[in-house]
Amino acid sequence: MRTKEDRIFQTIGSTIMIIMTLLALVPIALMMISSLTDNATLLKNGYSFFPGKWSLYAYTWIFQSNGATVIKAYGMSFIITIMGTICSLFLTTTLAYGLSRKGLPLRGILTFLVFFTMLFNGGLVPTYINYTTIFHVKDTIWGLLVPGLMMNAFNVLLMKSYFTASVPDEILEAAYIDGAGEVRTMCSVALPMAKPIIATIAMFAGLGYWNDWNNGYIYIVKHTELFTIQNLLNRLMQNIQALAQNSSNLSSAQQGLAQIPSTTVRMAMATLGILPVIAVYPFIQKNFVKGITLGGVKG
Amino acid sequence: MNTMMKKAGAVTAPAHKMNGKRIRRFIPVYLIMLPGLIYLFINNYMPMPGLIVAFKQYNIKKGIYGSDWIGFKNFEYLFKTSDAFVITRNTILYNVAFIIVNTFMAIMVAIILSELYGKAKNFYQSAILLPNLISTVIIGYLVFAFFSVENGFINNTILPLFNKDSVDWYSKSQYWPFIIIFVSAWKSVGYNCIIYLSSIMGIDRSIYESASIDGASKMQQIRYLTLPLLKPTIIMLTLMAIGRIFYSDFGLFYQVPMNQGALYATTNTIDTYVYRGLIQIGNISMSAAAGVYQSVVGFVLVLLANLAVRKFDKENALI
Amino acid sequence: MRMKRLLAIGMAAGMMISTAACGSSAAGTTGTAAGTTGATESATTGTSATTAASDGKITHLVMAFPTFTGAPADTAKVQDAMNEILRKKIGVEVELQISDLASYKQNMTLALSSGEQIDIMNTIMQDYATLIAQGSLTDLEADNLMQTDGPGIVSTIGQDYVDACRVDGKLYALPGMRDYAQGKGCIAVGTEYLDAIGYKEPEGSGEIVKITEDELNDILAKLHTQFPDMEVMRPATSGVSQYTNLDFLGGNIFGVLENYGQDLKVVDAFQTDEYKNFCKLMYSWNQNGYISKDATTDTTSVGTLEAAGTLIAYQTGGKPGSKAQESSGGNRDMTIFQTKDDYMSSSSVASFMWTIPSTTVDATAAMKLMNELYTDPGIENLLIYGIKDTNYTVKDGLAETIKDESGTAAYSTLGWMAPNQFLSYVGSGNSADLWDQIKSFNDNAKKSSALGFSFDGTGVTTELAAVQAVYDEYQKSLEYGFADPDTTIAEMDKKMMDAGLQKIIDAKQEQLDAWAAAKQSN
Repeated sequence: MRTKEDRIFQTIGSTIMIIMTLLALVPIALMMISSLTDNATLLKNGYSFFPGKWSLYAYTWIFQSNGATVIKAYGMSFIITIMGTICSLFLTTTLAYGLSRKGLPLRGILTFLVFFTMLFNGGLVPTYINYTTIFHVKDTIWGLLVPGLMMNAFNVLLMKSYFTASVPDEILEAAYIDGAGEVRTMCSVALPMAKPIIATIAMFAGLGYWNDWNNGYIYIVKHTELFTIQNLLNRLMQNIQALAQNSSNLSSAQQGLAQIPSTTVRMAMATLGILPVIAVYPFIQKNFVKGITLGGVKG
Repeated sequence: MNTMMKKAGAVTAPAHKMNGKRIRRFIPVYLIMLPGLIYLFINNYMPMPGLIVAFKQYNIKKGIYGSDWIGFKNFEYLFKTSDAFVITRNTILYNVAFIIVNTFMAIMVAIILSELYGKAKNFYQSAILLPNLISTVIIGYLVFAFFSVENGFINNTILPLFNKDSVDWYSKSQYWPFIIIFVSAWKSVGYNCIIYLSSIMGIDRSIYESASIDGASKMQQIRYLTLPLLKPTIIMLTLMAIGRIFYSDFGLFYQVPMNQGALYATTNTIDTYVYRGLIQIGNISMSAAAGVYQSVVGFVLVLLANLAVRKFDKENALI
Repeated sequence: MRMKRLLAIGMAAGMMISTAACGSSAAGTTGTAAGTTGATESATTGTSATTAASDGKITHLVMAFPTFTGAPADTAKVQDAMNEILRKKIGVEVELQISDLASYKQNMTLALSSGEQIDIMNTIMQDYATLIAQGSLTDLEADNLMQTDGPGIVSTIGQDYVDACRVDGKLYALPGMRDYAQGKGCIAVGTEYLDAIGYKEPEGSGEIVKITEDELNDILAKLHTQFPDMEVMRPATSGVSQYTNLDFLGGNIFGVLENYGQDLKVVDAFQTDEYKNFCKLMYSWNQNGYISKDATTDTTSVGTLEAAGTLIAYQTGGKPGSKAQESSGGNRDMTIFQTKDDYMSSSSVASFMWTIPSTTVDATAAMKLMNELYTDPGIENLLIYGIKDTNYTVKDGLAETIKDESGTAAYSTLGWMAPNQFLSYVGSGNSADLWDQIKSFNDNAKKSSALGFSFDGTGVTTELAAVQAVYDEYQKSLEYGFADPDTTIAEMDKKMMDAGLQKIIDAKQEQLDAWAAAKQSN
């Protein structure tokens, strides 16, 4: 039943998406091309889509010198992302489900307490003191997993609002009347209806863990094998900035800058940082779409 | 959907009676929520009292709680500067622009993606998500690749096409609001549209079919069905954004303009000002004071916005 | 509904207060516990200095400092080698906590705030006055700590240089042995470019060629004509401190001494002729086309640019060994020109100092370790170069670090930061008597009259943050020559005055006068 309007919509919509895709991919292509450019050429001519000279130097440097470090960092990133996403989904879903139950006593207060954490934060030093002196997560894998990322108010409230809007209380009450316990109700009634939001939160949590370099920066000092790949890259960047800023105090700042891997290496590390996601994401997305579409008509 | 169920006569639980029976009935729910609540307490509430360091002269030997009170002195540097107006104005205006532009873009993309036929839409969605994975430092380099004065793509390739002269992009602050808003949308549209997309996916297809049978055009369907059903999500996300209105994405305002002093007029925000001012001095209490300032303002604004929403649309208020 | 809201807020408040109670005991006491342990230990064990090795107890200490890129691969091996010596000698074993430069700052702030054990720490990337004001450092002379357990230190460094690190008469840190003076007004130029314009060094110039500013301008003009497509000069943010005779009192440009710090009058740097002339010079160089338009945004190191053949010259600080250093960095022979005098500024000694933080577990043991670091050549070589024949080789008395195919060394730290690099081998590429050259360079340089003065900025933190913001806005455009100094300097100065610059200047003058008076009476 394709009306003319339908076809116009499809054409315009596709055009818009193609433009946006190009806008998204062109700079990324530039990043990848510059990681394969000869460093001296890059310095002379600047960034270009058609570099005068190609070179694999950046990648050989990474795998040679740091070698095991980069591969280990990859492994670390994957482990953290998978473990973290699972834990995060568990905490977020259980709390959001509970908060969405309309009859829950103290529901408003608990929701407010969750929301309050979005606005007020103890600050870096108190959080650090909390996690290192009381919970001893410094230089451990928990320092990467637990602080900040495992559950945040944004995800909880998002999920709660979805539960409230799309999982009618009446269905849950009906299950309760039928004799099902809360846990059974949640697992067999509510969660299947909430697949889209669960997939969404899993994606957000996963991306959050993959992109995070802050936890590693603060909590990992001695056990450098716990560095994730984004952490490695951002350390480089921070060092460059520190040296550039402090060159008036550090007369040898220029030596330092020279020791830090060159621009092409930084581009290569950034490319390495997104490659796994590019590789894995379509696969995840296919499965999400399968689980998400409820009697999908379109597509 | 809710109304349909109500009409079918399903039982609804009695509301707002805090007697022992109700609490006992909900104990399993409390237990389900317990892990999340414990994490919330450990992660967010245990460090929160540390905020009072903003009001103290921090001394390491005395610790946060033993240090001396100095009232609001740590807050002075935020106001006693000729930049105070500029950084506040920049932060607020950019955030308002982000709310409007990013919401519009995300909804538009979500609607288009949900309506497109064919396998290509999965590719589109993956592609527009990629910019979100790149750290803002690298984005800064990529922007530099385009806007560099000597070698940049724009000065060397694009402007000559229109017979225009090179522009000193990194010393002219008037262009940067556009650049920053564009970069912000570029980075976040893929991420933001996921929320709206999943909301749209959760809408029962049958209402579209019945509307279509009734003769509604696609645009009408979007306007009268999709958008109203997205309203709760839009309101919630906007309220949350209002709560963060005094915060800014540090990477976006520091890294992307390459920390150029000449661009401060349009790229200096509260966060970058605090960072630049304190990086040499390293005073913990002063940076905590900035955090308190941003939090309190956001909190007040969100409560006010929430009150406003309650007046018009009680169901969708945040609290 | 209203009740519920109030109840929610009340509960939140109550929660905060109750957690404050348990929070305070944890955070507060960890801070004080570490502090008191250090003090009592030094009192009771002060007398057992000579018997420490024999009583069999090994104290585990943590030494924290950065390198440019973080902990080298062989850190554990080198640590073991150091401990072989240290355990027998002073009953101490050390753990080298090496970070990369940027995270070092963050890590130290957090570690000190939470009471983590750090026994020896370098003050680089941190503000000395803030550390003292926050109570992070141990007084090194409390209970005769340094006299008893660090007897070799003062004689090695020299009393004058030690005194240069005092604040209010108390000693909290020790300077490393290195070049404190700096040759001002230095430019490094690639030699092959000089050859191309037919420039010949005057006879008997020595390592650094001393010329006048006019001669330099002449050379640069010729270079630009000869190489119109190359970047002739790359400025740096350290330009004003390296290229003028202004003394950055207290380590920042807000309130300086003029004329190599010869008189003790604190003035506004931006109203001095020296600053105006510097900006005018940069402006003229920029207008002549010597400076790349991307100079303000590009963070690539000048060495990399030289090596790539895109840059001809850049500003640098001069010292014995500069030529070798810049040549190795730029991968080509560099000629160093100097247009101003050698100068030791008031804050040059009190930089990158070694301290014993207040979170140390045993100040006595830490001081003993400090003593070894300043007097034992074996320890020093291990610290800087690593293990002989594994991490470095010695040829003709000079040490050469062993690097792998990608140019990374398995172990190497920054010699200029080490407590006493003069005990270690001279690095290859330099002349064997480099340390002596540096010592006489230090002794013969002009010295600031304010040498040893430390500025306590805790009373003007608001103003410092505000003027820093103004300076950040204008610094590069002015000092890289992109803005016309005739109008812009006045504009910036007015903004700074509005932000409270005069208050900072007055505070500095007051503290300086008090310091000078106290010095007189000693």
